[in-house]
Amino acid sequence: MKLGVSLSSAAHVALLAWGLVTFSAPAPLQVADVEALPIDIVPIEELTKAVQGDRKAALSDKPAPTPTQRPDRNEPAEHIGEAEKDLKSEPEAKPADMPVETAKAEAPPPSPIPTPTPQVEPDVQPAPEDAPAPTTELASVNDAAVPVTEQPAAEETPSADESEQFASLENVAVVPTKRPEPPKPKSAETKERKKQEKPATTKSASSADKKESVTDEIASLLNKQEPASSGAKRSSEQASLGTRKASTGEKLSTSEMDALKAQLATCWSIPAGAAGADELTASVDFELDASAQLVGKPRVSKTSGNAAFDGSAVRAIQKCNQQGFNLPSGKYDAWAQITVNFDPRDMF
Amino acid sequence: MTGIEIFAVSAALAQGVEQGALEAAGDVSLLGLFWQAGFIVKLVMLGLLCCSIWSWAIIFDKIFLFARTRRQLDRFEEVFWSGRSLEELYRSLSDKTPTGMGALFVSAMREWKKSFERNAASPIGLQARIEKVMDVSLARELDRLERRLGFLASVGSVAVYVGLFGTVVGIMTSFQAIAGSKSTNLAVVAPGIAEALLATAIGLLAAIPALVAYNKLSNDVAKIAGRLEGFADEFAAILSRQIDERTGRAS
Repeated sequence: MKLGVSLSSAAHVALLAWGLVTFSAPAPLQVADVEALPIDIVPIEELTKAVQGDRKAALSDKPAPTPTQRPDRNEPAEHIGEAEKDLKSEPEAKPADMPVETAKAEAPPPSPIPTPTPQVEPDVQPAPEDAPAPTTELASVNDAAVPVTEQPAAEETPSADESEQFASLENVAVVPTKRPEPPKPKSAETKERKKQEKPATTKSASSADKKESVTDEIASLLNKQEPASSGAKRSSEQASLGTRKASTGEKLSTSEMDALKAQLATCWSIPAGAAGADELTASVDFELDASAQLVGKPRVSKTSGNAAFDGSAVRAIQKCNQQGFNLPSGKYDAWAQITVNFDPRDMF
Repeated sequence: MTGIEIFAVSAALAQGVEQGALEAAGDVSLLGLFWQAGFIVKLVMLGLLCCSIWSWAIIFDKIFLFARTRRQLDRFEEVFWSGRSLEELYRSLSDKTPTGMGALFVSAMREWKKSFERNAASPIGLQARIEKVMDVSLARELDRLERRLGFLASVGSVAVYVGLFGTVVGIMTSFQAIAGSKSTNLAVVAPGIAEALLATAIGLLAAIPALVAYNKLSNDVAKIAGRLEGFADEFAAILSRQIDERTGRAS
């Protein structure tokens, strides 16, 4: 036994000594200095986002001229000339203003009688020729101011016969009706119109000439096209490859769509016992407002052929709507209108 | 050999420490690791080292013993079957303390002689007595051969767990140190783990040879026991024949 113990001890001492020598200074692991690489996670839509441009143009660094915003308009075609705000005047009334313009100096007096004159108008349609009369004579104005009845107004017209030039303007018959406006003609008038009108008044233009100008006016009023143009087309820069319409690139990402589907799956109870229910699929369109609330009723765009199944899909959307949809609030454009495929194999 | 490989593994783990951190973390040499270890881990390591030393001592001892025993058996068998008279053989063996087959032979012959000296040689009783005596001396011989093999078995099965215990305790303390220093830097973690793994390494170092040796040695014991039993049966048969011859002659 002694021999064994001594042999064993010797072997262990030798082993330990060897271990001390071998493991006393382990060579340090040489770790290469690896620089950390910054990584950005870029959603794929950002790359696939199409820009507005020319479909045949070459791809350039600068995607395309930036489309400018269309200017806001207050109300379509109601502007008068350069006026920023539209005036309450009706378009039909505008031709009537012209003669008022012509009567510049004499015009102011008639203002006191706004009410009576309109009343005259419906009754005496042929009378228009006479209408200008009050504008010409101060005296008649005074007369008109005193008697408010219809009769005196009618009588006045004959008295104003002297102004033969205006008699020819049958079309301008409406003039008296809009008398109230003339007091502040300058604000409402445009230079343009003044130019048009001036010749008419000075020359005492022929009726035919006048007619034409009036129809032009009406045509221009009817033509409601805004002078504003889209900025992109005006840009002098070379268009780049892109689509005809600029896309916002706002699409629900796959994960967001999956999240929505998962939510719908929790709301969805497939009608029990429907034959081959797991084979059926239905597409349902629905619209959401900005607060992610359902607008209207979801519409089955592709029916499964099983009414109960379609109904369950619609109910799933309505049920989830009560819980509130899980949608990224910043991407309203992307989920304003959603089409969801209800496929049991896909959603469960 | 395997133990050394495991040393190498733990050393490789220690190598994972960067040079700069090495200085801060301290010595990762074998001795350094041992001194850094906590009290329990140190105790485990020392205990396992002692176990290893003792089990190797037993292994060497048994290997020599078995080799010697086999040699003796061979020699005895040679002598026994050489045709020498049993009396002569008995006389030559009885003055020294024989082992192995010699011990069986001597015990059987002693019983034979005693029986005839005292005239108590009833054929059946004598034979039974001789067999009994030989069984006893066989058991004694086997006991001598198998002594301390149990320790090897224990070390083989338990040393791994003891080493693991040391490792777990060491890692626990090193994690407590991490929690204290609030740093998860590898330089903070690695020395503690390396030192803790040293305990497992030593445990395995002790257990593996012990287990292998136990299996081999117990196999050897079984072989030697087989030879001894075979001899005992043969010798019992010879003596039984002798008894029958003598009683037949006497009657």
